[in-house]
Amino acid sequence: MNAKLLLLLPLFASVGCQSGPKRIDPGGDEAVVSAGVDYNEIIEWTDTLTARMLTSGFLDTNEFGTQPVRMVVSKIENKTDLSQFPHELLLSNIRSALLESGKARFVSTYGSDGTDEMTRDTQDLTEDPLFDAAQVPEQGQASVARLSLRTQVLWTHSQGLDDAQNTYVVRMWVSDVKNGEVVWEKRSDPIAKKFEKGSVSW
Amino acid sequence: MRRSRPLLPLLFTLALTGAACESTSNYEPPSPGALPKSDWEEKILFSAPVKNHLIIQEVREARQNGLLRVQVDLRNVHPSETSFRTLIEWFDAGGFKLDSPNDGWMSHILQANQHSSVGASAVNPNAVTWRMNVDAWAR
Repeated sequence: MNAKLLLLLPLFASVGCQSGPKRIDPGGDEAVVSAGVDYNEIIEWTDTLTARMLTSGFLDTNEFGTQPVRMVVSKIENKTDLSQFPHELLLSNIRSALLESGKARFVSTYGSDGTDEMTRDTQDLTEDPLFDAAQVPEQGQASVARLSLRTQVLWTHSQGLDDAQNTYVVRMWVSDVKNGEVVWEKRSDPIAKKFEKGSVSW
Repeated sequence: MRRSRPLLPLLFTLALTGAACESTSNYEPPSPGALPKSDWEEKILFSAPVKNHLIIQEVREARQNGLLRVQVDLRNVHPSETSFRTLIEWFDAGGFKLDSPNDGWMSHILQANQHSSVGASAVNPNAVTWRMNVDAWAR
């Protein structure tokens, strides 16, 4: 019996040595690399796309009104194999960067991301005797966006004899809602992942 | 005469060593339009593992549409592929770091002798200067 316990001791010791969760640098060497798109890669995409949008100059032409130009987030299409692609992370970084630049401001009353019903709900308070109607903003003050930001997350899958590859890219374009013309369009740099067939569970 | 012969291989080796040291000095003379080294040498910080792999060819800086923009041209002088990551931080006139929603490391892969331009644009118009960290990156 004692001999059996001795044999089990290394097992107990190894269980005891297993470390629990620890905080890591999300872009560092310890970060998990998946066959899909990882957190630091989304940050790379948002950094690149924001820089391309801001340096292209289309927001500085005054063609779409004075700065900050009003924008709205249009449809976001996930055309990848990733059912849970965090498009909110992608869009929120781009939105906040554009806001910080002072060149654009997104409306939250309508659109496909970052909406807030409180502007509309506040208008409904006019009829509610609980509230002082004089404090409710006058009707017709909500901003109408002049530019619309449309997004597609694209994916290609390639297979060799032993290996497979996923390549992801984000396509974005901005339309002038006055006439439907596309005034800016760019793709992110591709993120490519190669892995052995069968090594990734879907 | 016989005594001088062992000196020749030694001198040859010393010459080669000197050449190797020069090629890994992380800097090449700039072309017209690029910033002089004195303007950026304290802004680009290499970690030890990549210091001898990458050299800076030139650095450009401009204000475009009201935003500070930087481009650093690098070359991999290591005989094999080098993977590295870069982080550019932006600072206002008072020296305070400006937070950006896109703050994060950018990953790069350079084959032997390959060039790459690492560029970034500040999103905050108050940015007046920058700092770039270059670190090794294992995929």
